[in-house]
Amino acid sequence: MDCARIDLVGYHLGLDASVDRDSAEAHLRVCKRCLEGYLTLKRDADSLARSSGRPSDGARARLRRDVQLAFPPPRSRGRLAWLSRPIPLYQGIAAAAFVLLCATTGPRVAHRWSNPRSSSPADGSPVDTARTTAESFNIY
Amino acid sequence: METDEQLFTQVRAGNIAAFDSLYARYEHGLFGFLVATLRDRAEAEDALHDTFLRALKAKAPQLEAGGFRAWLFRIARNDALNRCRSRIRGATAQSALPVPEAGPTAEEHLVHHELLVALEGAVDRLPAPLGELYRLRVSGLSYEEMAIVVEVPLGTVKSRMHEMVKLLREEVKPWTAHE
Repeated sequence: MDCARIDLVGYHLGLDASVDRDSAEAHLRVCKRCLEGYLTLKRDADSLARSSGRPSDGARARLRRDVQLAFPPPRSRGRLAWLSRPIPLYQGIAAAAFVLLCATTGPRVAHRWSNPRSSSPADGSPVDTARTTAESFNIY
Repeated sequence: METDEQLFTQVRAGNIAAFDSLYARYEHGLFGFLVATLRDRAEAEDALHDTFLRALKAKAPQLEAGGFRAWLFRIARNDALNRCRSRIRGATAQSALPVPEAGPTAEEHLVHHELLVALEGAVDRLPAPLGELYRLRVSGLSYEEMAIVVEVPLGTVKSRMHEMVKLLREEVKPWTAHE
């Protein structure tokens, strides 16, 4: 490849032709003037690409803050974060029914257990359930 | 080193350090692309902000390995195009269009960065689709990624690249050729 045929712009922008790239590189190794031309082109093209600079620090800080708000770190989600776990429907219904059952029957069962002879007379004497006459004719 | 896709997942899990790394990788290339497209630094900063947030808030994006960059640039390009359309709708067409800056004057050619000025003018004079490809290319995108971003077949990208190089070569020939 001679100097007139080398495509520095295509080489710099990476044209998809490996054969041309190989021969261009071979030429650049031996031709100082083409190499200088390429380096100048590359320097200026890179300079042009960087000429827009970078976004301001304020823009970066604003974006960073919004990202933090949208995606908070795990530890800041609080100790009650487990409450947000979804509960399967049937397990939830079963648990609610169990709690309701306990709330309605629990006090009665507890009272019976704590006073097992509460149906007996107040004086504590045994009740003769086989007697032939009524214990009392009083009407309460 | 973590891939872009890994950093992206970590940011969504609440790791702000991962965001810093991801931002550092793209602040130059993506911002440069947006500035060149919108011709307005303040609006490019807004577009960069929206691009990142839109990408991060996307619902379960299916990203292949190495697909994040093309996807992010595609979001940025769509955002920039929407902003250009809004300008046209909101203001007079003359002031709204992203008009390329005037080409270099004869005096400017005499300064020591002659090639830089010539190259800048040549890029500005490129037809819009070719100018867009140039900006994506210098931002580091591969041919395949550019095809994804501009939503054209790979073959079209290749033929446009050849056309663009041909135009640029003619423009900068006086500075790169020698006897």
